[in-house]
Amino acid sequence: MKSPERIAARTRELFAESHRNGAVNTDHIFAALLLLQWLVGILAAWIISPRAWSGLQSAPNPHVWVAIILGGAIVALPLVLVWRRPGSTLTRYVIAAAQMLDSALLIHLSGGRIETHFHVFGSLAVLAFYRDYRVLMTATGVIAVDHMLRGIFWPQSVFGIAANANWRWVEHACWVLFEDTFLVLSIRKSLQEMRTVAARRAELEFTAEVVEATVNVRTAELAASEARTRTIVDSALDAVVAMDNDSTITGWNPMAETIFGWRRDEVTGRRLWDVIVPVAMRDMHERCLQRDKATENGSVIGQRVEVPAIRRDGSEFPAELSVTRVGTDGSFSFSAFIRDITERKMLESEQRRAKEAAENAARAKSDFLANMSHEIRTPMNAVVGMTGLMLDTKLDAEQRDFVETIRSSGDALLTIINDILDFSKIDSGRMDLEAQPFDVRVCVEEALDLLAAKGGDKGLEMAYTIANDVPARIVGDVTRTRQILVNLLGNAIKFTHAGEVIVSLETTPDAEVEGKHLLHFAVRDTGIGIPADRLDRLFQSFQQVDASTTRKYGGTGLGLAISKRLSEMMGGTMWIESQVGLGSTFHFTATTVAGPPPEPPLPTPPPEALRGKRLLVVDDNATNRRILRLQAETWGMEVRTAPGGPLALEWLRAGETFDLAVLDMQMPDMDGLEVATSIRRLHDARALPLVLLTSMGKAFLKDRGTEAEAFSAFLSKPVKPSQLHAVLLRVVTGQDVNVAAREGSPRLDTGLAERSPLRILLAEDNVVNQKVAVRILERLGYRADVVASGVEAVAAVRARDYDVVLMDVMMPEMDGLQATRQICTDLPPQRRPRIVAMTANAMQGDREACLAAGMDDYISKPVRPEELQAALERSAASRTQSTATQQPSKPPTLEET
Amino acid sequence: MARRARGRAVREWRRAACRRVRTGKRQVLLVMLVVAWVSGVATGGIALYRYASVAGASGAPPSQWPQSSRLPHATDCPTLVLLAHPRCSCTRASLEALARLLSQRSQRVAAHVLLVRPSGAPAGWEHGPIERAARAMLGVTVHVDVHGDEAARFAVATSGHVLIYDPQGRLMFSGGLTPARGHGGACAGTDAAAAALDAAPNPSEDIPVFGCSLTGASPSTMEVLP
Repeated sequence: MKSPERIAARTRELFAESHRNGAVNTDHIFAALLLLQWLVGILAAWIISPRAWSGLQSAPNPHVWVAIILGGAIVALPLVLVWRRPGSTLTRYVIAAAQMLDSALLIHLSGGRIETHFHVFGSLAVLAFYRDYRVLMTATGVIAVDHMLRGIFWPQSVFGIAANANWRWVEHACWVLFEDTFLVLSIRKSLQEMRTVAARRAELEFTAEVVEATVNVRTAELAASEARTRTIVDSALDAVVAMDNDSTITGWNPMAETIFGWRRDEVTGRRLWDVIVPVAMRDMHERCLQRDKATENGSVIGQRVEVPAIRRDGSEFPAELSVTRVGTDGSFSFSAFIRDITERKMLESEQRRAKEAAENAARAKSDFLANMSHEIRTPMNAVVGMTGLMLDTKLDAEQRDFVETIRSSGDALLTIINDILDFSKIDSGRMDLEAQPFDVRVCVEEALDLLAAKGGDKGLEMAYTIANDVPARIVGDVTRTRQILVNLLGNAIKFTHAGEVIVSLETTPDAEVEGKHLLHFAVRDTGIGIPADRLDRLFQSFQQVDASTTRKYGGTGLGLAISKRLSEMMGGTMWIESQVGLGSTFHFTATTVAGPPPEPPLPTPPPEALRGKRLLVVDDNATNRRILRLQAETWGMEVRTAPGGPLALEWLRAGETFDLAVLDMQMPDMDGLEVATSIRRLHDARALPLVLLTSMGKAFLKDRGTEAEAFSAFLSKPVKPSQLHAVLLRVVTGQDVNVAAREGSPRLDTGLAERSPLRILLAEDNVVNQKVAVRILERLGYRADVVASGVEAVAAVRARDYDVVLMDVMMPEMDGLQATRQICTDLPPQRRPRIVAMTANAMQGDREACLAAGMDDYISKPVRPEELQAALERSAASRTQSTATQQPSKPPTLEET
Repeated sequence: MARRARGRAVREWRRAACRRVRTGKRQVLLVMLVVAWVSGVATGGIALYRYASVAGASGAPPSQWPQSSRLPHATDCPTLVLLAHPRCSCTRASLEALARLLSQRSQRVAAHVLLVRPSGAPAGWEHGPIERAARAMLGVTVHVDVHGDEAARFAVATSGHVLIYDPQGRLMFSGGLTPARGHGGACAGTDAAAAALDAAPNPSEDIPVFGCSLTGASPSTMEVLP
């Protein structure tokens, strides 16, 4: 039931109950009154008319008997009903009738005294206590009937005369009704008030019910909460102690009993500090707590502090203490949480000792590795240097082969040492990655360039694809990225005997951070593949597929482990997909952000120059055909590809026309030169411009000079899109396009070494950077000795005369600046080589710092071929100027170790 | 379980039926009780009213002032005599009616209250509330009728009987002044007595007298004493 209905129902109940209680009380009042009236009637009769006389004789007056008998009869039934049915409607009606009858009797017994008539009016007023107008009607009815009957049968008793004057009893009735009217109005008012009171009581009851229910619920919740709190405190693994404002213990949980050995009843009422704090420190703790209580903040309250504590047996132990304060209504209590930290302290001590031991071990290992690498590299550099000197002398073919083998073995051993050092650095967390913007496309191309010759020697197709949405420049460590690619490409070439090695690069932009990319590199080969059960060991250090791999292919098993660690440091990961006999694909990812836009775009011919031109691609390798087709189609060309010369010739014979054709050199049925020759024999295709695509360089063309004349241009594999674009444009438009110098422009002077021979020492700690620089130098015709630190550079310069030292500034053990100063100190000016700084630092003052250290020239990293060429040209010019004062070179000496 | 439920339902029905029967019986009993009560009260009331409405012996008062009466007869105003039994409670109402009657009269009335001491009653027997009330009335002379001789002379038998004689000694009124035993108030007697005192030419009707017997003998047995 809804509240208003409940209240209304309860109001009715209360009203009925109140009414009934009133009726019951009134019944009792009338019962007493009727009894009294009966007795009064008897007394009145006895007083007024005690005896009836007849002369001298008398007898009790009949009035007395009437008073006793009739009076008793009148009150009998009402008394019985009040006794058996108090509050019932019948009871009050009978009482009303009896009261009126009693009035009539009293009037009669009093001899009709006018005063006795007031009994009627008084009775009506008391009958109004019932608050039931029907009771008044009953009483009034009795009076009316009495008057009517007496008027009929004994008028003289009412009116004094026998005649029945109707108006007289009407007059009497009107007086009664007059009083009845006011009594009824009074009853109505009283009933309204009763209803109002009942309604208010009902509302109060309802409110009280709601409040009580709410209080019960809250009390239950509070009890449950207190029980939970008590359970939490009792089950806490720390000692929980409650205190009052004077630090007197009021609560002590079971864990406190366990930790301190005191039972709750033994400590309740005692001060906390007297129980758990060592004697010598009690005053200090007390002062601290008092200060904290006064200032509301301090060293103890709200803080975790480590303090010595004592148990019951007096033994001390380290404890962690925190105290909180809770204030209510101006009074405060405190809660102390105490934890036995003995074990923790012991663990910390052990961990500290273990850490120190590990650090000492790591330091010892690093020192050992550094010393080892230095001790190994120093003589190795000497070996490699000596082999370089020997190669400069006249050697027969066998001797040259022996020396080349010694040099390459020395290079391989140095590579292994560098790998071990790299791995150690990564393992000990001392490897830092750079975050500089670089061109990722150039990075991929440089990696391919480094290994293109090896791939070409095995007849492998090498190519790369980069998705269009890959940012042109990204921020990261170009050296390490290239290192990973070189490692993977090296493995791919090593384990592939036929087919292709393709590098692909895609990106997934980060949905939340603008400019952030997840680069996905993949190196796919068609090599021997890896068994599925051996894949998991590939990334483990010093692990290869199996022992036979080591015997057959060599390697230390560190390369992949290092590459994986590097990719993880770049925010990515590395994984493999492989099938035995079909090949493998090595994937690695790196998280990066897009770098600043590249340098202002170079002027290029409008894209419409190639748009609509028909290109014929002839290459037996499907990947190459796809790469060339996709690239050319982005320039708006219409491309048809043929897997070999016969099909292409067939199209041409059929009358298909093309604007130019790209022919791969190495094809099984007809090589590129043969296809070109056949095309030139076709009448309609004589003038078709031809471009030769080769991975063998141009040296072999010397033997097939007339066939080579059929071509308008040559492209080396792997094909760079910019070079392809430039060549196609040149062929189609006859216009020479300025391709960016950073992409290895064919403008390098390959005869520089012949014109200006220089003995070059390269000091660079990073293996890949070493290879890049060596490669550039080889393209310029130079050969360089390589060292990996400033110490080795100083030793090499002392041991042999060099014309140029390409000095990396940031090197371990001794940086380039320090090595330069050492060289300047050790060597007289006439023996001192020209030192060219190579540094990635682009800060203001770096060049000045290099020059101030004694360096003669400065090129920035990444090293650009044209910049290196220019630096070497300057070095050569400088050497020429100082030739007159230059002392003859001394015989090389080995530095004693 | 179904059987037990059925049994329980049957028992409940039986209990309800018994309650209904008991309630019905109680209600019948109650009705009968009320009816009996009403009947008893009505019977008692009727008996009371019958007693109250029964008049005493009317007597045969002489139409002329008896010469033998020792009471003085006024010759210049009406003479009123009320004969009262000194112990009759109903006579109080008659005395009150007489007092009202006399107070309403402007002319002089020679009023006498004759307290009748029955034969055998000791001296002083007439003392009492009636005598005191009579003696307290203004303009009323109280006499004691020893042995009831005067009552016999006037041939009045009932207490509260009022006789009014004009100055010439003619009986103008004979009867009571109350409408019922012990009841005061206006009635035919007071009206007739008032008319008689005003020397109304018509003789009064037969007015009943409500009171005790004065001497215990009937009027016919009373001798008219000289």
